[in-house]
Order: sequence, then C-alpha cells, then structure tokens
Amino acid sequence: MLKKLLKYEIKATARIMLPLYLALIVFSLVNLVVNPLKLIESSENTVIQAIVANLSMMLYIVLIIGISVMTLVIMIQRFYKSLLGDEGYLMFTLPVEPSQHILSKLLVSLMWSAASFLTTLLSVAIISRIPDPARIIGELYKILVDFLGYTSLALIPIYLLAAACSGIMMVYTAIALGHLFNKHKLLASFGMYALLYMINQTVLSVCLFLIGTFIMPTLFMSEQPAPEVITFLMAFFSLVSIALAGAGFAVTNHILRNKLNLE
Amino acid sequence: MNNILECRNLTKFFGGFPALRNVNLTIPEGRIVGLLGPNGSGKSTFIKLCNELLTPSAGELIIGGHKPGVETKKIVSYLPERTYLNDWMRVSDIIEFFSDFYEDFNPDKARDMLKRLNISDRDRLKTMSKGTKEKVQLILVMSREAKLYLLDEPIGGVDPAARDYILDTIISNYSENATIIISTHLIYDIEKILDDVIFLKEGSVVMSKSVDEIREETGKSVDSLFREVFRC
Repeated sequence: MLKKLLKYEIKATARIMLPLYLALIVFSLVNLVVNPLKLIESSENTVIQAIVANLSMMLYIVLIIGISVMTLVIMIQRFYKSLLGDEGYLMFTLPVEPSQHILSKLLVSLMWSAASFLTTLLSVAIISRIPDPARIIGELYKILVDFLGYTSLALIPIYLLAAACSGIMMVYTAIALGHLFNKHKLLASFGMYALLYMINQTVLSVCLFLIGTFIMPTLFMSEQPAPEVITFLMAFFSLVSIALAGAGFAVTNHILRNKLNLE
Repeated sequence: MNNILECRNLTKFFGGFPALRNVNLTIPEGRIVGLLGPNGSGKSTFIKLCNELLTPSAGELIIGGHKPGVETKKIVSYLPERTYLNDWMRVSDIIEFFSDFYEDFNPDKARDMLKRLNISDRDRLKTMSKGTKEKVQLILVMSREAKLYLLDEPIGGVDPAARDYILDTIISNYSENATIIISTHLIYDIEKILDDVIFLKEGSVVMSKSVDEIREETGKSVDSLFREVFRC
C-alpha cells in the first residue's frame, strides 16, 4: 500500500514541482546565452541592454526563491489539506494504516527537498559558467577529504538526510498537535511549531553541552579539528536527528490513529 | 442472520457537548436502513465514527467483526456529505485511484455508469459542477462491492430529478447481502426504499424499528411518524 500512496503523492506534487524545475533550468540556459552579468559589466552598452540584463537576473532570483518556497508550501499543504482537510475523508477511509500515510508524505517531501536543492545547484553551475566543472568538483573533493576524512565525507549525506527528516517531522507533528485543538487549529499548529522548535533546540544544546565537556578541549587545542572528531560529531548529531524524527513520527502517528477528529 | 454492525454505549463528546449519547444498535446484513433525524441529531457523527474519521469518547463499535480500522475500511464504502475529490484529477485518475486501493472496486461498472451521464474519462473534476461531482462520487462509492454502504445525506443538496437518479443508482447497484445505511432528513423521498429506520434525537436513539412494524403498529407512514416524534 505504501507504494501506491507514494505513486499518488508523487503524481499530485510533480505537476507543480517539475514545471518549476524545468523553468529554472531553461532560464539558466537562456541566461548562459544572454549573459546578463557581462552585459552589466560592459558599461558602454545601451539602456535596453541593461534593462534586459537586470530583468533576467531578477527573474532568475525570483525563480530560485520560488522553488524553495514551493517546496515548503507543498510540504505543509500536502499534510494539512490532504490528510486533515476535506481530502482526508478520502485518504482516511482507504484501507491503509495512518503510519503509511505519514511515511508517504515524509518520503515525497524529502525527495522534493533534495530535488529542489540539486536543481538550484545545477542552475547555479550553469549560470556561473564554470569552465571545467569536473576539475572543480575534483578539487573541492580533495579539499573536503583533507579536512574531513573519508568517513565524515560519507556521513554528510546521511547527516543532511537525518536533519531534513527531523525538520519535516517537526512540521507534521506541529500540524497534528494543532489538530487536537477544538478551535483555531491552524493558529495552534504555528504555536505548536514554536514549542517544538524550542524543545528541539534544547535537546541539541544539551547534547552539545554533554559531549562538549570532553570534546571541546581537543577542538580548541588543535588548529584544525581532527577528522575523527568531526566524524564523531556528525555521527552523533545524525543519531540525535533520527531520534527526534522518530519521536515526532510516534507522536503524529498516535494522534492520527487515536485522536483523529475530522469535523 | 449475521450482524454487520453492532455498537454498545457509543458516546461522542465535542468539547463538553455530547453529539452521541449511549447509542446501542445492532444492524443485520442485507438491510436498507434509514438513519433519520433533524440537523444536529448526531447522524453524521455516527457515520464518521464508523469510518474512524472520529474516535469515540466511550463505548464500543464493531463492524463485520472488527473495530474500525484497516479491516473494516476494506468492506465499508462511504459517501461523505462533502466532496473529497482532488480537483486536479481526471475521471480516469480517480477510477485508477479507487482500483488501486479497493479490491472490491469494479472500474467497468463505474465507467459504464459515468458514460450514461455523458461524463468521459478525460473530463477534469475541476470543470464539473457541484451536482456532477456529487454524482461522480456516488458512482464511485456504489461501484464497490462492499458489505456495508454508509451514505451521509446522499440526496441533501440536489433537485428532485437528481434525487430519483441517486436513489435508483443506490438501489440497482448495491451488492447482495450488503447493508446500506442512509442518513437524511428528507424522509418522504427515501421512505419507499427503506427496510428499517433509526430515529436519532439530540444524540440518542429514540426508536429503531422496521418500516413494516411501524405501519402495523401505528398505521402511519415513516414521514408522518417522524413529524410527530420531532414536532417542534
């Protein structure tokens, strides 16, 4: 059933996200040809040239911001409207466990977050006309390996994924908690988000404090932190993020299973 | 005869307000049951509890031997009193959706009924009128070979001609041995198809009888009995 839920979740969201990605990439390519930065640089060009150049830069920035905003809007809306709004009457009468609903929303939201990030990266790469992208990536990789070591480098995607999971689950948990209120559910959700954010930060601070007592001395003593220390920190905070996401999942699942009240 | 639905002391509070109070019912298989009562008497609340869209404050509810959950959702076909269809979908999308999630859904039957209303597979739900959307929803719900149909106000907001269409669709499509529970306050229109009636008043069951019993005991139609019981 999870597969089928994912299929429909992707279908429902792709029709919004894919055109945005396409627009950004096409626009980046157009900018590559028109080259607004160079137009602005060469001062003797005409006013029209300058206007075209500025306008196309502005549009580009709007598109990039639009993609991040849309990723966030879809994350919230697909959970709030399609589970706790009118569409919830359809979704919650399907023979599917609530946990699978949450999981399908989470996975698709993760997918779009990653896709938005990568598309934006790609468009920046296109527009900045890196002459030899393979060489630059190679150099960047070398620097990172030197600084972080192989293990930490491999941990980066895992840490990002864990952090994104805990971030998205925090939004879902806030919406689910807001649903428990009799009135002003949306407003309550925002309040709950603020509360969860504080709890999240407190947990992270306490963790930092606890491990800090025996890691900080080594950190301060050396000019450059040892790769092992970084590996440890990343692994540790990945686990904390996963634990926070898990707690959010448990709370959300409990509410959708035992406290659902679609009025 | 087996019972498809049983509930004992089913109670639901909204805030401090009781929407349902100690409802006890046993509904056997193969009946068409009218869940009748004025607005705010708890009809929708009862149906939503059966669909696990609400969670009971107290009491017990058993459908086909199970508490509301995945197992009951497989055998219950529910028509809510609002439209729940995704506007961006085409008719073909929503038929695929139902086929994917409900094993008892018969897509050919649905397509056939839609064709008779001149609704094509390519039509978008966004372009349809409210009335057409309601009909599409009813067709989807009645194209399942379910054990229990829960229809919440199926004829609430439509004109008399559409009412006839809807009642015909319900009567000619439900699967054998299935039970249908129809909630409504438009009793006159629906009386002729009912086997049993349940009268709900302020969240409590005030009467649960077969239509034949009512006629024999009181010599009245359900409609006139309803007017008597709920006289303002």
